[in-house]
Parts: sequence; structure tokens; C-alpha cells
Amino acid sequence: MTKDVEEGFYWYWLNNIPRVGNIKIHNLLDRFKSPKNIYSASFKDYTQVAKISINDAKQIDLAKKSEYIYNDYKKLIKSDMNFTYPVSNDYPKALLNLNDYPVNLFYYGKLADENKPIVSIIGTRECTNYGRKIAYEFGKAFAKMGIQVISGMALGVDYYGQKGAIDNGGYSLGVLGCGVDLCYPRYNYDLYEKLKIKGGVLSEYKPHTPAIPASFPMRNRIISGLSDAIVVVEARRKSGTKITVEHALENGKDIFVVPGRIGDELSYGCLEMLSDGANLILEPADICKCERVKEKLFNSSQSKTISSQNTQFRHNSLNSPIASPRNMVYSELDLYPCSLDDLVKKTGLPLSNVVENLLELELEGLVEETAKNYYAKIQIS
Amino acid sequence: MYSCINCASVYGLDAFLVHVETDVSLGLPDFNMSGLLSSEVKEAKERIKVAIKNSGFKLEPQKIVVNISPADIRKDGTGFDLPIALGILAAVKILNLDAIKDTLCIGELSLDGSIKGVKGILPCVLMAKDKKIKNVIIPKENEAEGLIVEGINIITANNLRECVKLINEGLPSNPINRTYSLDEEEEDDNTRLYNCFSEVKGQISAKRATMIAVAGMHNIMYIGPPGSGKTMLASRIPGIMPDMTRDEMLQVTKIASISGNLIKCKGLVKKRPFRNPYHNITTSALMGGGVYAKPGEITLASKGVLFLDEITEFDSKVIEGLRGPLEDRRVRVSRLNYSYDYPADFMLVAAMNPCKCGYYPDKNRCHCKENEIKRYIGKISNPIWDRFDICIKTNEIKFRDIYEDNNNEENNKGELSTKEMKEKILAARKIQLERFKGTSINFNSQMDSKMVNKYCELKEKEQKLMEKFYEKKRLTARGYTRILKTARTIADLEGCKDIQWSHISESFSYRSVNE
Repeated sequence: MTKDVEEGFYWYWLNNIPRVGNIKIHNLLDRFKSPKNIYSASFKDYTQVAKISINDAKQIDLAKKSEYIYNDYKKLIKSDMNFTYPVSNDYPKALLNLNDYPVNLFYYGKLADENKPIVSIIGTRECTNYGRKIAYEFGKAFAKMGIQVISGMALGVDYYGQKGAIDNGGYSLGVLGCGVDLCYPRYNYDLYEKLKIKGGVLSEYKPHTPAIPASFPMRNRIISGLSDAIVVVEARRKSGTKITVEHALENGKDIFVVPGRIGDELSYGCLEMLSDGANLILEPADICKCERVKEKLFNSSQSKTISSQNTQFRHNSLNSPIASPRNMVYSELDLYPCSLDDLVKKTGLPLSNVVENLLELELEGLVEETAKNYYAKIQIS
Repeated sequence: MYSCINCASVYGLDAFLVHVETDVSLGLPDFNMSGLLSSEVKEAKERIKVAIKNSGFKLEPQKIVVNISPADIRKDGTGFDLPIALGILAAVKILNLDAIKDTLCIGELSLDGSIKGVKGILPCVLMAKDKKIKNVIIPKENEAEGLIVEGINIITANNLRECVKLINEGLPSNPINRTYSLDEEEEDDNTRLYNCFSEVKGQISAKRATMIAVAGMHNIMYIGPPGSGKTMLASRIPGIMPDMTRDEMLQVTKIASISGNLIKCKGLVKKRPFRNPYHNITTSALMGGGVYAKPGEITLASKGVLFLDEITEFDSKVIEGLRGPLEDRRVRVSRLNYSYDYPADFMLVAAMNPCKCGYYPDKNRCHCKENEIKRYIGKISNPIWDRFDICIKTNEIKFRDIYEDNNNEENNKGELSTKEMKEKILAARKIQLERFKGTSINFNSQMDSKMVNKYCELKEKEQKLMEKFYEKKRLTARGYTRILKTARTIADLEGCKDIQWSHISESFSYRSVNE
């Protein structure tokens, strides 16, 4: 065993003692300073640590002799999965600011470069077409600006934000609430595979750990810990997104919120955050209002001109000023999908005419059918 | 003494001639029946003995043997009571056997001797006419049904005593005035039988899609939130179908007769069938089946509409079973010894919610995740989706729709009524009939790929656009032909000879959600 591997083992061992969770681990670390010291300490020493009962101390003693932990660790070292711990070089320094920083991290791909800005895009799992579009466009714009996007690889906003970054040559890190060798949710397999190659997948849970509800708030604290700024796209009144935001506020991170319409369920959480004093973000370049992001952007060699990235967000109307049926149909559309019947009513055109124009607009890539007979604009204008 | 009386039994949709042979001879008093009989036929012996006694005839205790031939086909139903009773009476010389040589008798006997109605009279009378039998004696209850068949002497009787008297006095010819025959009511506007489409508020696109579907006999799927009028739309479909021809009516009446739906009916069924089985239906109830096969819902819906509401809730095996009948327009129910062919020439109409909660894409109410929605849609297999040429979203009715339509006559102008729709459909059907003259099909939806190439030729401009869309939307060959077929129907509705781009684009908007 080399020194690194041996050091790693102590950290791994510390994280795998039955009945000893994150809080107890941090109490132990406070007293003994390093896992190696804990390993070599005696039964009596343990019992003097806060929150460690006699039973816990017995477990720690037993765990020292456990072959399972050792064998698991050997397997882990041999596998292609990366393992890191707080004193290791690749451990993200930003996480050490957390009171209960994870003592083990497992990941595939590579971790985010802390010299470049890291922004997380988070939001509801059941997003609307609007949220989907915005998340994707923000991810895309951030990728082009050289900003790294992190998120929880969940359905909805997380997925589209990360996909926007990965698909457009950017870096993205998915933080999972299960072992990194599992793809949860399974539905996001395409993103998971891409992240493994072009970005990274990170988790504090050891391989094969299934996803349980309790692990997601813990995951959220890593997301907020890693990121310089947080962009919230859509959130309900009661939302897991808020946990991430609260964590972030505790750690002094900047929150940016994409506004939505008043009255929409999925915008309620966002509007609430805005009224509580979160920053408003109207286009991706607004992220530079965050000092930390701005600093890192200008420091990094990749700093590109920011203003040119946002053509997507300029008003983009069709060229002809005449009210042709095509323009009439197009002008009635926005990012919120509109039903065919409503379009017929709004434009006053016959159904076949509306459909014909919609199809043409679709062929030109200006309109998409988001659900059966529901249409929305593709470009944000 | 020996006697032989004609009777009939139903096999599949048609009847066959049955001889009831009776022998009454000296010996130990006994009553034996043979000839592969089901239990309701065997039970007849108790009924008959009592009925004969209660009708005032006296039987000596003798040995009675009844055989119903052909003895190798299973016979069921209660229609044999009357011929058996008459056979016994003839064998003991109470009845004049010669007088009913050329007569077919059907009827169930009650203990007091009265004759009750039975199922399947129409096919039996039709068979009698085919076999050139002159007279048919049927229960009074089935009079209207029997009278549908012309050119045969229909005699009805209320009870056994009356029946025997009629026979002994010589059967009268055409004793019943055929007052409620079809011709008198034919002038009637059939649209009155159905509810009008103008009662459906809003749903502009769904109504148009319905019209197109009926014009080309395309199967249609409504997707929409609960309470948006899917069932309302579906139940009005028979009303916009063209009136049935006499042959069609005869077939529908025959099916209704066999399944026992005709007892209270007067003459031919003129209303197109609309069947909406619930989602707890079994495969055999839908397809037809049972130990002794009976027609199922798809046969009962023949020439009309089979409406599967909440199609996602049906057992998937039941739905998959529809694949064959939808292609062949008939269903074969096979049993070890025999198989029945039933017609299944129906238009399939289905309705479902867009997701589990029903409100997608209204995200204010729908909490379903994307994969949940996909899974919900995926409850219907692709082969079944392929059979729906038209798929349309129905929208929730807003208060404004109801309010404005009720208060503003002008708005009602745009609303399609059953009458208008029917006229357009008739015109489109006429074009199709001409097109498919000499082929085995009648409607655009039934075209195979060869015919699609022949009748749905595209002009250069349309071809180019189609190519572009084919690539972009990654259509399959099957999806492509389906779009062309629907486009053909839309062109027919508009009275256009060639398929234009607007027809194709409209047809695109009706493609199914899983594409």
C-alpha cells in the first residue's frame, strides 16, 4: 500500500463504520484530527467524544477488524471509479467550507475546475415547456461563456440545464443522491453517459447505494457548496430546490432566480424567492453580477466576450411586417404551449390554414409541438 | 306413431334446418330426448308435459322418444319447445301432421301453454325462406322481427291451444297486415335518432377530425382531460355516418336478434350501433366466445362504432386482441369442433387522458413527470397506435366557450352541426365509392400500400415538402402511408382531386402522440 492509498483507506474506513454517521464522524475528527488517529485510538478515547455512546465505540472497535471494509476498499481502488477524501489533492476545496463536508467522494469523469466559475442550474422535476427551454438555453449560454454547470441530474430543469451545457461543448457535473455507478433516475441515462465522458458524476455515497429520499437534501448541500452562484429556473411553493437555496444562503452564495408568470404553480416558488430578495436573472449574462463568477471569468484564460453570446435572447420576429397568416400564427405563440383550438380562435383563421402555417414554421425550426396539438415557440424572444 | 316437424337452430350468424322427430309408442311411460342437446333443451320435457296438459290435451302414459336431428351439431336455445310439443301431439293424432309438412315452428312454452319469444328468429326465418319453406309459426312477441323477411307466410300464435287450432283448421295465408314494414318510415330524417354535434361546445379541431375520420372510416383517438367532451363527441359519431342500406340493416338486425337485443324492437334496426363496453370487459366478451360461441362487442358494433372510453384502463390483452379484427374486418371464434365467423366491420373510437392525472400539459394542475407521461402513453402498444389514423387532442371547455355559444348566434355559425357534417361526409363517401369501384374495399382507410401509391400521388412541390418533413420528423414507412391516407380523405372532403400541401399538413397534425 502506498501512502496515498493507505491514507485513503482510513478515510474510507471512517465513513463505513456502522451506526456512525456524518455528525459523529465530524465529532470524532474534531477531537482526533485525522482518521488515522481515530483508527489507532482506544475504546476509552472514543467514549469521551460527544454523541459517541458505548455501543458506537464498540462498533468502531469492531470495524477496525472488519474484513468487509478492507475488501470493499481494495475493490474500489482497482475499479475505474475515482475516490477522494478531504486531504486529497482532487478534493474540491469549496466543500471544506461546509460544516459537515463529506468525508468520502466518489466520481466518474473529472471534477469541476475550481479556478473557473461554477454555476448550478436547479429547479423542479416536473417543469413546463418554458422551464425546459430556459434551463436548456441557460446551460447552453453558460457553456459558451466558459461557465461550468452543476446540478443534481434529476428530471426536469436539472436535466435540461446540464444537457444544454454538455451538448454545446461545456462542462457539467452531476451530483447524485445514490452511488455513482447507478443511474438515477434511469430515464436520464443519455445524460449520465455523456456526463461520464465529457463531464463528471459525483456522489458522497459509496458504490451500489440505492437512492433514498433522505439522501437528496444531503446531495443538495454538495451542489450548493460547490457552486459560486445558483440559478433557480422553476420551483413550486414547496420544493426541494428551496433546500439547496437555503444551504447556499447559509454559505453565502448568490442566488439568481428566473421569473415566471404570476399564478403559475411552478413559478410560485421562484417569485417568492424574488420577493425575499433573491437576484433577478433575465439573461445568462446577468450571472456576471455575481462577483465571484465575474472574477473567475476574467481570470480564466477562456474569458470570451460575453455580450455576443446572447443573440438567443434578443427579440426575434419574422422579417415581413405584413400580417400574413404565418405571422399571425407566429405572433400568437410564446414559450407557454398553446392549444390548436385556442390558436384558431385567436387568429380567426380556418383550422387547416393554421395547421399548414404551424407545420411550415415547424419545418423552419421556429415552432415545436410540445404535447399533442400544443405548440410553442422555440426561440426566446 | 312417428312425426317429424321442422325447426331451426342458430350456428354462428346463420340458422340451419333442424328436424324434430317424435315417436310415441306403447311401453313403460317415459320421455327420452336425444341429439346433442344443451341443458335448456333437455329441460324442455318437463315444460312440455305440463304445457300440453294445461292446454287441455290429454296424453296417455306412453313411451315418448324425441330426436332432434342432425344429431352431431349441438343445439341450444328454448325455441324447440313448440315443435317438440307439436310433434308429440301429431304423434298421438291430436294434430294433423300433413297440415304442417311445409312449416317451420319456433317457440318457447310456458307451463300454462302460452308461447314465449326467443332469440334469433330473424336468421331462422331467413333460412326458411332460402329453403323454400312456405309457412313459419313464431311467437307473437317476435312478430315484428319475423315480418322483416318478405315472401314467406308468417303465422304467430299466443298459446299452444291456439296454435293447434290454427294448424288443424288449415294454416291461413298472410294473416298479418305488414303495417310496420320499413317503407313507411323511410321518409323519416334519420338524424333525429341521434344527438346533434352542435351541442358540443368548442372543440373545433376535434370536431373536424371526427368528420374526417368518419368520411374515410379512419379509427380515431381522442386525448384530453376529464370532462372535455370525449364521450360526447364519440356518441354522436353514428349520427354523421351515412344511413344504412337494407343489407346493412339486415346484418345489424340479425346480430341483434342472435344476441337477444331485439325483443322490444319493431322491425329492422335503423340506428347504427354504438357500443361502449366498460374497461373491465374480458377478451371473450369483446371478441366473441364462450364454450358455445356468442358474438362479442366488436360484432355487435359491426356497421357502427365501437367506443373504448379510457382505453388505457383496459386489460392490454383485450386491446391487443383487436389487432386482427381491425385488419380483417371479421373475427373467427375457433373451438375444437367448429369455428364461427362473425363480422367485425366497425369504426374504432377510443378516448384517453394525456397522463395519469389527466391535465397534462397544464402544468398548474398536472404533477406528472415526463417519464410518467411516456409510460402512460406507452400503455397502448405501438401496433395499436398504428391503427389509429387520427389522433386529436380535446381541450377543456372554458366558461367563455359555453357562455358565448349560448348567447351569440353568430358564434354558432362556425359550429358544425350533425346535418352539415353528414352532408360533407356523404359527398366524400361518394368520391371514395367511385374510386374503389371494382376493388374489394370501400374507404380510404382500407387502402394498402399499393393503392396508396396509386391514389395518393403527390405533385412535385408536395413531394419536396414531404421529403423534408419525413427526414425531420423521422417518420416510418407506415406512418407515411397513414398520413397520406388521411390526407386523401381530407382532399375528398374538400372536393379536391389532387392532394395539396394543406391537406398533408393537416393530416400531420392528426398523427399519434407516440410518433
